[in-house]
This record gives sequence, C-alpha cells and structure tokens, in this order.
Amino acid sequence: MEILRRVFAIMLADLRERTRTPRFWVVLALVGLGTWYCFPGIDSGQLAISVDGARGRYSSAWTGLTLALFYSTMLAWLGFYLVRGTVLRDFDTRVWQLLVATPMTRSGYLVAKWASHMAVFCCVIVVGLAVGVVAQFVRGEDRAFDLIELVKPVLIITVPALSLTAFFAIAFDMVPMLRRTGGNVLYFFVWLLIFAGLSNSFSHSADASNMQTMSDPAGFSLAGQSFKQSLAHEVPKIDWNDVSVTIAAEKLGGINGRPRLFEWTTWHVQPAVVVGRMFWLALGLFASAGLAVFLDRAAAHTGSAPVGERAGRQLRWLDRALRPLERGATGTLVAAELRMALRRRGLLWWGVLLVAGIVQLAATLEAAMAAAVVAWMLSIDVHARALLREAETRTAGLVFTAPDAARRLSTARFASAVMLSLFAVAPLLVRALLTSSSMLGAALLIAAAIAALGLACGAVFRNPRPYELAMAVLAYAGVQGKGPLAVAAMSPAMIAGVGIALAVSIALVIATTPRLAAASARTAV
Amino acid sequence: MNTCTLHLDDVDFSYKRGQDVLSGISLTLERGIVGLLGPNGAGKSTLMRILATLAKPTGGRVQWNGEDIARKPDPLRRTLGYLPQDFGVYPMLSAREFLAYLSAVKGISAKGAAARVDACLAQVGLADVADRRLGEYSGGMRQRVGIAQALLNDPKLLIVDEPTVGLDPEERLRFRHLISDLAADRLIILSTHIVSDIEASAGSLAVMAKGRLLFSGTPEALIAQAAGHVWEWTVPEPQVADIRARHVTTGVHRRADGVRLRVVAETTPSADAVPVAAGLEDAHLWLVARSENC
Repeated sequence: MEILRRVFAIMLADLRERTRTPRFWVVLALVGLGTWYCFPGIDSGQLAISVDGARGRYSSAWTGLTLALFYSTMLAWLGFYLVRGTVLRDFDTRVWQLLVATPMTRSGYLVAKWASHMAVFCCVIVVGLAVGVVAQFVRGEDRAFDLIELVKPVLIITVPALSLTAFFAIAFDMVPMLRRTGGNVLYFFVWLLIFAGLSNSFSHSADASNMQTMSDPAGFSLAGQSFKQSLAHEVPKIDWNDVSVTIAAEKLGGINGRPRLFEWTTWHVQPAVVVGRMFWLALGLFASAGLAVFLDRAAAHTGSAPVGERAGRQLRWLDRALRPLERGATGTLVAAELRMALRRRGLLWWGVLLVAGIVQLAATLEAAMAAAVVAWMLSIDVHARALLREAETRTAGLVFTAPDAARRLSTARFASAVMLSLFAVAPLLVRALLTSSSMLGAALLIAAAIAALGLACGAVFRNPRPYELAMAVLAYAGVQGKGPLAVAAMSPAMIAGVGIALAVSIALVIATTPRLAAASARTAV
Repeated sequence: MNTCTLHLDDVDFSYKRGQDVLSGISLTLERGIVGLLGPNGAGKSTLMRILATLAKPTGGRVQWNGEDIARKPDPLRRTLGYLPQDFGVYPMLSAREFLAYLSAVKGISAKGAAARVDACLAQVGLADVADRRLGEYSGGMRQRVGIAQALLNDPKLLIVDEPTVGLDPEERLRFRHLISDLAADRLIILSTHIVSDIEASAGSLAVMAKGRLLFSGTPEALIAQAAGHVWEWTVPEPQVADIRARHVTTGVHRRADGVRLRVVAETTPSADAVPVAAGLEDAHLWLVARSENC
C-alpha cells in the first residue's frame, strides 16, 4: 500500500504541475477541435478512418473505433511531445535529489511517471470521446448511444498503444543524447517504424478466418481482422486490411464523391485478443519499470551535475576562425553564439557532419540532397532554442537589463543560425556553385528559411518542440526527395513558398522577440 | 543636478490574481550604499526587479534622474549594473568570452570592451582563470563572474541581490571592500539577509516586511529605535524552547551554567534579564516583530 501511495503521490504532483499551465489546456482544446474533424459529414467527401475508401455509419461503436485508431496513431506520435520531460524536469530542478533520499524505489518512481503520462493521455481521450459523442449526434447517421461500445475500442486499442508512447517518453528523458532535440526528432522515426511500420507486417500476416491474438501496437491489424470477420460476407469488394488514418478529399469509390458506408454497431472482441492487447500495455509498463537500473546513471548526467562535463570542447581552430568577427559588437555576439552552438557538439556530431559533407560533395545528386537534409537536421536544436536561451539558462536578469538587448541578440542569433545552416551544407553549395545556379539559390534560400523558421517558432510558441516536430516531418519528406528541403527538386511554387516562409518568419521574429524578452525577464529572479 | 538619484513614488506591485507584493513604497536614494533588509517574502527581490527594469510597477512610479524607468527604461539600463539573486551562465564560454559577450549586449564599444573585461575580472580576482570555461567554475567563482558582469559598464546604479551567497569568508571580505571602493561615485543597492554585510558597508538602510517599507534612514537611527528593548540573561536548557516561543530571540549561546539568551522585547522578559546595547540585527528584528504585532 505504501508503494501505491507513493506512486499515486508522484503521479498526482506531476498531473498538477502539468494541468496548471495554460499550454495543457490549449492542447486539450486543440485536441477537441482536431477530433471534430475526425467525423466529417457524408457530403464532405472526406474520411478520417478509411477502410479501402469506405467507413462505418457514425454509431457509438464506429465513433469509438474511429477515435481509438486515430489516437493510437496520432496521439501515440504527438502525445510523446506532450508528456515527455517530467523525468528530466526532476533532474534539472534537482527535485530528484530530494526524492532519491526517500524510501521510494527507482522502479516505483518510473512506474509513477508512466502512470502520470497515461493519466494525461486519459484526459485527452476523455475530451475526444465527449467531442465524438457530440459529433455522432450532430451527424445524425445513427443516434443510438451505447457507452460500452463507445469506450471499448479506446480501452482495447488505444490505451495499450499509448503505454508504449509513455515508455518512450521516459526512456528518451533518461538518455542524455535524446533528452532534447535529438530525441524529439528521433521519436518521429521510431513512431513511423513501430506504429506505422509494424501495422503493415501484422496486417499482411493476418489470417483471414481466425483472429490472431497478437496485433500491431496501433491496433490496425486488429481492426482489419475484426472488419473482415464481421463484414466480409455482408459487404464484399472491400479490402478489409486497408485500414488507414487519413483526411483526404474525394476518397476512393463511393457515389458522387461520397464514401461507401457500412453498419458497425457492435464490436465482438475475443478474450484472446484482449490478452494480446494487454501484452503491449504490460510491455510499456514493465519496460518503464525496467529502466530503473539506468536511473542513477541518467540522473548523474544532468545540466546541474558534474562540474566540467558541460564545458564542451575547446575548438581552438574555431576561436581562430571567429577572431575577425569579433572586431565589432554584433560580430562579438555572433561569434559567441557560434562558439556556444559548436563547442557542445560531440565527436559523433562532427563525424556525421563530415560524412554528410563528403556525400554532398561526391555522391549522386539524390544522395547529396538527402545528406544536406541530414546536415541541416544536425543544427535544428540551435535554431529552435536560440531565442529561448535566457529562459533556459536563467540569464535573463543579466541580459535584458541591457539597453536594446532583445534587438541586438535576435539580430546576432539570426545571423549565427543562418551561418550554421550554410556551414552544414557548404559542400553542397560548392557543388551547386560549379553546376547549377538554381540549386545554389534554392540551397541558400532554404538554409536561411530553416534558421528563421526555428527562431520564429521558438519566439511564438516559446517551446522548441513545434519546430522540431515540423522539421522531423519535413526531413522525412526531404530524404525522399520531396517537400521544401529537397534542394534539387523544388518547383518555382515551392521556392516561392519557402521565400514567403522566410519573410513571414523574419517578421514574426521581429514582432515577437520583445515580448519574449519581456516574458523571460519577468521570470528572472 | 545629482546624477545618481533614484526616486520611488508610492510604488505598488501585485499579481493578476490580486496578490499584493509591494504596497505604497516611497523612497529617495542617492549615491552611496543602501542596504535593503527584510524577511523572506518581504518583497525585496520584486522591488529589485522593478528597479532593474525587469518588472513594471502596477502602481506609482520609479524615476532615475527624473526619467520614469517604466516608460523609458533605456537611460537607466545604460548605467545599470545588476546582479540577480539566482542567475545562470553559459558553460561553454570562458569567463572572458562571457563578459565580452555581455559587453556587446550592453552596447559597450568593442574597442574598450576588452580592457574593461580584464579590469572587471581583476576586480573580482578571476584574472588568472579568465580563460577557463564557466562549466568548470565552482559556485563561488560563478558568483564572482556575476559581480564582474554587473560592473562592466561602470554603472551609476548598481543593484546587487544577495551578492555574497556562495562566497567564502575571504571572498566576502573582498566583496565588501570592492563595493565600499565603488560607492564613492554611484548608488549601490545591496539586498541581503546577512546583516553583517550591510553593517560593514551600508551608509543607509531600508527595511521591508510584507511588501511595505518599515524604515528608511541610517543604521544608527534604526539601532536607536531598538535601544532599551534588547535583553540578555542565562536560563536552564529546558526553558529555552518556551522562551523562544514567546520572544524574538536574536542570540543563543550555550555555556557551562546554562544558555545565554538575547531577546528583543517591549518590556523586560524576566526578572533576571539585563538590558544590553542593541546591534543592527537586534534593531532589524525588533522593527519587523513590532510591525507584525501592529
């Protein structure tokens, strides 16, 4: 009982800490709004959950299933960014040092953190269910309300999926390299692999006649099998394994652009399937508890811990290279910004940059483009956090008592961020200079836009995560030669779009930096 | 016109939820060292932040040489040195680089900045380790970097909030000498819990409690207020807790014949108690205790 009481106390404190920030309630409101768009009208020609271009009528069961699949994918992705950081906060605020001196066990602490993350997810889900019920009645396709059918899919599909997200949120907080930007970007690819990738392999191995006990973490194969078992005879000509989360106009099939509809009023779940889903739930929980063996080591590697470890590398060549810049006040600031950005980099970072540079210079154009994207991604933490530094390092009191400090710093930070972006793709710029002036222009424009967007997002959201999230998605497209980071494959419209993004970002930085500075100053002690 | 006049006129500060932090602070300060004393939660740090232009008063106004600092903060900022109670540094930079960075932020010309940085580092005794990165500094060394950055622009108004926290006795002594030397041609506002710091250097005092100004004047005037209200006597150990619960105790010394107590009280706390000369700490506690009883 004592253990449970401790776990509950930590969970409650975490939950209070989170719910007392406006950000939490803004996120809940956005989730509510986003959930509404999961239930487009029949005439909109759109689908949120598509089964080979068809969907069920909006009954309680289909509403629940829609939310379950939507949240087991989208919340499993975005929810990571919502919940992560509580373990790190305990390290950074040194609360951990108070906790570690109590009889609390390490595994109990981590289980409490897992439970706290799950509690946040439950808040989100409850809001989503409420919106779902409203949508069911507003759309009016099936007004029979069945609470059990509404909640059942969420409990069986979503909660186990989110258990894994909660685990990753804890694990990424514990690995020093993954605590901030690196982890935020990497998680996007982990999510793609586990939640999107695994569903395909499970779906294709699914037996047509028997329900399999195990399903993919997101539950797509389970949904597919359930549809197949219940509806294959009644509604033929549908690929029941083709379950996807999408918002797409004029989807496949249907009459006059309307999706095909089928009846889905009850979901029959076999006990073995529930056991299979509990596996994912238990995996998340026990894996979180299992991280306890690494907890002390993780706590030792914090911003407040060992003297000397945070001083970074000397990089004498950098000092020599930056010396000419330091003749003026702005140059001194730019040089300091570049020093701070580069001294903290480890050997791995320099190694990846070197390899990316060689590929940019010597490999095929496609490979060079992908390498440029990788090189840009290496510095996005600098762009995302540049304008947040005073808040993060408690230097606002020193900096913003100087006249005109916000303008001086934002100018220097923009300049240093652009220089860093250009430095990352310098080999590609050389290559473009020799081969293609349009590619050179595109690379210069993108480099500036990446830097400006990072600063703008930091200033507007006062949080690096939205930018990191956006960059992860753009990088995913970019390495496949698509989107605004694909230097050599940009259409004139895309170039114009990047140019507009650059201009808007600069305007946002100029407009919001004084307010950000004032906010940082208010929190200075 | 005196170039170091800070005038506070009925300054209030409250949070949006209505919690009053400062109420009706009126004060005029001129060159020299002003000690700001008060218990935790008195509003000292909030007042310091307002004076450092980090927060705006919700009522009243603060003028620096006749300019309202909420409306026009830059004239003050150009001549302000501020050492916050709690501050961070950039661990990747050396002390010299960090101070050069802050010099640029403060708008000090690049030409004179290097010499000024060296001078400030020497003043706080960090010249020998100026090229070591701040991530390798101890807490006391970082505090000295904080003091050095506050001096970079040769400020006419120097605000230091708990400056000696984390300093060893030798460093503390060096700091006292430093601000005494600096006080000749500037206004220094020194907020601290350590009464001995103020006793050693402040020419005038302001005492706050619960967001209000209780006293403004010289240390001697404050001590005079407590004259006749400080008592000492020796009691057996078991009585100490009871006496401490009933009186404001400013000193406890364990001796062979019992415990020698020093208390501040309106009238004699015991037939054995003898009146003694008040010190600054006694006077401060006497004033705060009296305000709480009002």
